[in-house]
Amino acid sequence: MDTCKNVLSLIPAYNQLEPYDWIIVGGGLVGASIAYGLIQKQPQLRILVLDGADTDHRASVGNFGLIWVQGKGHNFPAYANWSLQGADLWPQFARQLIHESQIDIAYQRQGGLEFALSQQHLSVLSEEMAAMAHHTQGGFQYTLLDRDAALALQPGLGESVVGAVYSPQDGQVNPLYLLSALHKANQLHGVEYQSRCTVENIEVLTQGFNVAGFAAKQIVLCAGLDNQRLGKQLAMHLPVSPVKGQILITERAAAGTFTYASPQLRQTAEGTIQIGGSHEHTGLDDRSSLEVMQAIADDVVALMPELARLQLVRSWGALRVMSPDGGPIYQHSDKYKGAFGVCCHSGVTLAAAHAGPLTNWLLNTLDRDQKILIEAMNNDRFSV
Amino acid sequence: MNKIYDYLVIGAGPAGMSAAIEASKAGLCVLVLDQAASAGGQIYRNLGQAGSKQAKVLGPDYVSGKPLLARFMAAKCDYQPLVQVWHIEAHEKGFVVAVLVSGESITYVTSHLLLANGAMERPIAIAGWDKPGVMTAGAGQILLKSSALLPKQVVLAGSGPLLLLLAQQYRAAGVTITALLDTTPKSNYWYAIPWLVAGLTTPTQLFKGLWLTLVQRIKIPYISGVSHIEVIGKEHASGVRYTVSGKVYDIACNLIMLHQGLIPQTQMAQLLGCPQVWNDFKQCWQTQVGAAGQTPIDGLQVAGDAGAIGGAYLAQLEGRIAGLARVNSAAELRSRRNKLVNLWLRFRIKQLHWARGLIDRLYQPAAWLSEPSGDTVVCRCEQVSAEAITAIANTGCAGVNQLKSFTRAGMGACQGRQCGLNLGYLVAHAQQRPMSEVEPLTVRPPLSPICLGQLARRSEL
Amino acid sequence: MTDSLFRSLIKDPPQCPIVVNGVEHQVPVQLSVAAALLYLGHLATRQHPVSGEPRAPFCHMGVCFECLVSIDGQHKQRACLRQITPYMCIETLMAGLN
Repeated sequence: MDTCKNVLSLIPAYNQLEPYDWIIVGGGLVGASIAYGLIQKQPQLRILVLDGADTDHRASVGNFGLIWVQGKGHNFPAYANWSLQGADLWPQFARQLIHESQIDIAYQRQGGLEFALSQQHLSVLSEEMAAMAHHTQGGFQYTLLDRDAALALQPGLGESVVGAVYSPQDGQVNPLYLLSALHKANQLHGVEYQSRCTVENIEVLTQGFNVAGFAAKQIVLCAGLDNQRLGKQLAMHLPVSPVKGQILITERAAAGTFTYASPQLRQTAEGTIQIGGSHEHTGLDDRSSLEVMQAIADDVVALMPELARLQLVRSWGALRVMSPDGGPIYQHSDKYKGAFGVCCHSGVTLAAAHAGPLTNWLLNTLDRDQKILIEAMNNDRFSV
Repeated sequence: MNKIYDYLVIGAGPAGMSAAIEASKAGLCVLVLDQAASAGGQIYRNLGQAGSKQAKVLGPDYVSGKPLLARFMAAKCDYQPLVQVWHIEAHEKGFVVAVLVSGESITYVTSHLLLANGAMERPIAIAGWDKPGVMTAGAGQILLKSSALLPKQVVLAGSGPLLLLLAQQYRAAGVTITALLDTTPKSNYWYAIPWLVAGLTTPTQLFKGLWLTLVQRIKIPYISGVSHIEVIGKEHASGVRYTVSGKVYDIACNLIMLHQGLIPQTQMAQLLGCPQVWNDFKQCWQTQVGAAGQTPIDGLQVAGDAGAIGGAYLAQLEGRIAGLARVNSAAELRSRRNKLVNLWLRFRIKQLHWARGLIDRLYQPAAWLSEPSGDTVVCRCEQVSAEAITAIANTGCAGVNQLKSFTRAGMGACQGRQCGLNLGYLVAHAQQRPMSEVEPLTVRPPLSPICLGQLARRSEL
Repeated sequence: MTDSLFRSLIKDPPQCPIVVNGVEHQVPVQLSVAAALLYLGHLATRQHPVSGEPRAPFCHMGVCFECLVSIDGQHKQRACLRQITPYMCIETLMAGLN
């Protein structure tokens, strides 16, 4: 493609003759985790990751940074088991990635709290957790906390907090450093990386594919919201749409201001307090908005009044890559062998699973049970 | 709070004041928001209050702002000083501007918006520039204008008219200038020669500039052809190290003022979605601005140094034409005289920008300034070094925004104002790309920090 | 605090009392908070929250955020953007996380 002319000259000429084993379209957390898993398992593979422009929509750099099991897939058993498995694979994954990249990704599995601001909310949470535990045959562990018990874990909660759910299986990470570490480790292992390469068309060859002037035997679409468009070109239905989330970040606060991981707020390793997050259907508009920023500030000040004195330093909006039921989509093309699509909005939680069992699925080296689990998350569930 | 302004002007410098004068003269409902305690902008800062001694030291160009200031103060417009604009967004009626005034968050709605928030100093990432004892020359001048404060002894280092002007003012006030280290590359003088023709169209300015340059060379220890300046010292600056013709020298001093010219403050325009273009001549990103201040965003104008650096007089003309354009768009004034004024303004603005080419070329920053290396701090807020940034840039990252994610550079309270340009340079160098291909840091609110409690609506109750 | 690197242009300027780190001082009325700290000989006005190194006002126009101090109980204010007022309480941010 035109957009890649400037970079083609940087790649040795033989690359254009000899096809890559894999081209991964998308250098976000999903693409980078898959490249990492592939090269770990088969170091001889020639892999090329194609990434977009600097100011493209990037869910990976708008991420909240939770490794979150609570409630994930309470209405979707395969997703529940997959999330739990992903979270359990994280400690080993993190150890190895930190060792290889020498980047401290600030991974912590300190447990997570989701706070309820009404009894009704608490009972909804309680039902969801029970469903999760059921789907995972008790694998998912959690405790329902009343207000006093929640306060015992996290002092300083506002009057309106009636209780919380605690799960020791949740954790957090710096998602930006995670992405940076994956990129670095991949490059150390010989994965090639090409940024500022916008993929317009994918050409199907007699054997393999031609993407932006690069040939590959197999291809994985990890292009986030662009998967829908690119998937069509490879006869895959990948129904994803944007759901905007806005996040606020405060100045650094004293260590221990907030101890646990939570979708409502978390304290980063640097000490800043990260506050989330909205769910808005505003198309591809990812700008921050006054109204939503105020609503997020309202909520967090109600949750922990002492945070009111902290200064907001940054904010951003990012677009979640959402399937109709919120679960991931793992798809292979029936028509074009060697073409795959991966869509998900849990690029952090599932990073270890994507680098692990999912790459075995791509390489067709997976045992039967795992294969069934992953294929339960294909797009068949959206056809009536 | 439900009032909708016809014209909201951000910045009460020459551009903002001029625009507000024109618009309010035509009967529009105008609001001017300004960060400072009194109107005037950086150039005429504190002019209304400055004493005679200050005025004498600061010179005739400073005092020449008085008529404009007086006309602004007499104009029938709302003027709110001491305001921090922390967010602006599109609104069904035009724009909503969210500000902090004495610790309280307020929003204003306007149908038309003019950004006239001026310039900032080009960030100069040299070793030790973050130590106490180092400040910008602009800071030195602000201390003189608003606080009548002078250094006892100082080293001035860098390049550009403001540095020479400050030297002149300090000399007039009896400050000991230990040295003026001029980093203007000697080759710039040759490259600037063709621009003399342009400069000659403003002969008074040219003559004043030449005189200023010559006088400093005679009256103070003036060292030209300086490169690779670094600040030495442990916790506090204790000296400056610099190179002349390949030889390295040290000067002992505990106060250094740096200057390398000005760049526009583009953050507000960026936040509203104005595309930025790289100006290789002026070595900065700029908002694309039309002849009467118009931008690609409907109802949004930019005037003065916030658009392109041109100095006070140009800013005043640009503000005036922007104000007139706003009035004309309101179809309230279509006189023949107005058309003539418009034509004249357009001609003068074009001519003055052309004449400005001489200053731009002569004082174009030296190449070594765009190549910070080693442990030199590039992002002051998050303390990210040049080598850490280059290491990531070398991995082929997409640009400064990805670099920000991976290094934290640009994530601090200054919102990348002090590092954005140098991040761009480092990416361009590492990836051998022209700056015109590098996109600047994306701007998100808050433009300046605001407490969560101030932001939360509940706190209003 | 050491000998100030700055002096006032005006001879015997009118004075204003301010309180810096709990100590009362008389300074020229015309000063900004940042200018007052420089005038009083504060070489550094905060400890950098990341590096822990001392920092001082740099740009004096609200851009760089190096001059953050606490003013009348409001923390992390830009000292360069505020004029002093009688008995204003200023705390430099020289110790611990700020």
